[in-house]
Amino acid sequence: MEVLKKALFTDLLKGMRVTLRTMFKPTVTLHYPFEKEKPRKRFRGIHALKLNPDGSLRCEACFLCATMCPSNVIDMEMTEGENGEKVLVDFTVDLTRCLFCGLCVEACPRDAIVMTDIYEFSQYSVDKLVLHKEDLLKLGEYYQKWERENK
Amino acid sequence: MTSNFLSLLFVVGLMLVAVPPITYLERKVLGHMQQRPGPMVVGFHGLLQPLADAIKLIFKEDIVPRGADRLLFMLAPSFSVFGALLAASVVPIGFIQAVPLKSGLLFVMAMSAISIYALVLAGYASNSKYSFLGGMRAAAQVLGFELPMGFAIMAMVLLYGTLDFNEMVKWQQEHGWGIFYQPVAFLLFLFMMVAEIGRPPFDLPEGESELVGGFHTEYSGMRFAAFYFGEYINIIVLSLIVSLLFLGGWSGPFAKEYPVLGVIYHLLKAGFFIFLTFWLRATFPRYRFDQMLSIMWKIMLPVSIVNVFVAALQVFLFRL
Ligand code: SF4
Ligand code: SF4
Repeated sequence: MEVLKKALFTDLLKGMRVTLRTMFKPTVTLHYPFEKEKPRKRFRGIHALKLNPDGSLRCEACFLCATMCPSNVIDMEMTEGENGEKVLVDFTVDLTRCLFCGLCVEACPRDAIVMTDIYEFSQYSVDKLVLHKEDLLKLGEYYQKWERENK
Repeated sequence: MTSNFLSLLFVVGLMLVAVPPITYLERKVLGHMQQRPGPMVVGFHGLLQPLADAIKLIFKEDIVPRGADRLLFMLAPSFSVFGALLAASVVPIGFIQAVPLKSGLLFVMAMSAISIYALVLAGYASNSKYSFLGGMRAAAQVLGFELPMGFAIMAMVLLYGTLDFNEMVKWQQEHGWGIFYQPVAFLLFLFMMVAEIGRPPFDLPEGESELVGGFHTEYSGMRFAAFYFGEYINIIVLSLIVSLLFLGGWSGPFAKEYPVLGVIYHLLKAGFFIFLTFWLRATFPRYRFDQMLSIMWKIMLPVSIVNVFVAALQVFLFRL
């Protein structure tokens, strides 16, 4: 029996039947640049910094996110303000090294750093992939609009 | 059978013109077998994709790697194309045959083997370890498939008693298709054909995962395209030959009265085998090096030798 099976290529024919049948099934792919998938609610895209309702920065430069980050993506620059509090000068996120693990978001005590649903962020030069404070705040505006609509 | 310059033009032209549509069809078929549409972007349903490929290949920079054997490196792709085209020149398509050769089958086998040697040469001349391994595997593949293929063909030659394609078709028109007499030789020949054109599951000289692309790693632009031209022309030629050897070539209803119909029959039969190579490619993973050799030497070769005896017995018993 075994020999007969091998000699008549039954297993191979079975496989070929599967592929032939699949050929007449409808295609299931998305035509990516023309059609886009909407990310799920908890999708982790690129980062954003939220603002308080009064327009002030939520982030208080506590460095918890940077400490938590497994690949040292986040860096901050700060000075001392008039009342001795920390003032954030710059906040950089280096997307070239980011794992999109979301640990920074988990670590933030103030819900200042969040992750948007943006997944298309390829650039022609690498330094454009390092997000600075202004970029992150702009993304934050986008995120807060998205949040109001979706949550 | 007409044999003149026009037929030669027709055959060579057909081979060259048929390649782009075949690459397009292959990508479509493979795509649908994987539940994706294949090329879609350029033109209606991707119909202009071959043109886009051609433009890309023509304008790519043509590089000869440092330390490569320049002459062989540049010659290898043309061996691939010319071997395949020479083989095509003696194959009759219906009543059209460019060069009517009495020992046509022998010539085709020799020439299409040359296109495999082109792969070996390319691997050797590239001065790259990956290409070299690809070339080595091409050489091993030749060792593997040539013998069983020879024996499979020998069985058919015994049966028909000729090496001339036209005689073979005449024989089949009288006695019935060769596949009914020699199904084993048919299967063997199919296997070896896939190995000869170096397509999956016998695409050992290539291999993106293990060989960074295989024997053509160092090739770019039109030189790279030439290898593919050779490969696809070989597919067409061997498909034509399978249908000649086993499916009666251009025989069929009314083919004798209207020779044009014969051409169409022949091309349709060959088209099925071309489709078969796509189908196999979508279905099976690549054989491992040692698996390929052991299948060829331990199974195919003994089977094919026994099959030659069977063919001899057939001829002896039935006085075919
Ligand atoms: S997502 Fe992960 S890797 Fe990226 S910045 Fe946050 S903690 Fe670091
Ligand atoms: S953990 Fe939150 S508050 Fe602290 S530095 Fe990071 S973003 Fe700012």
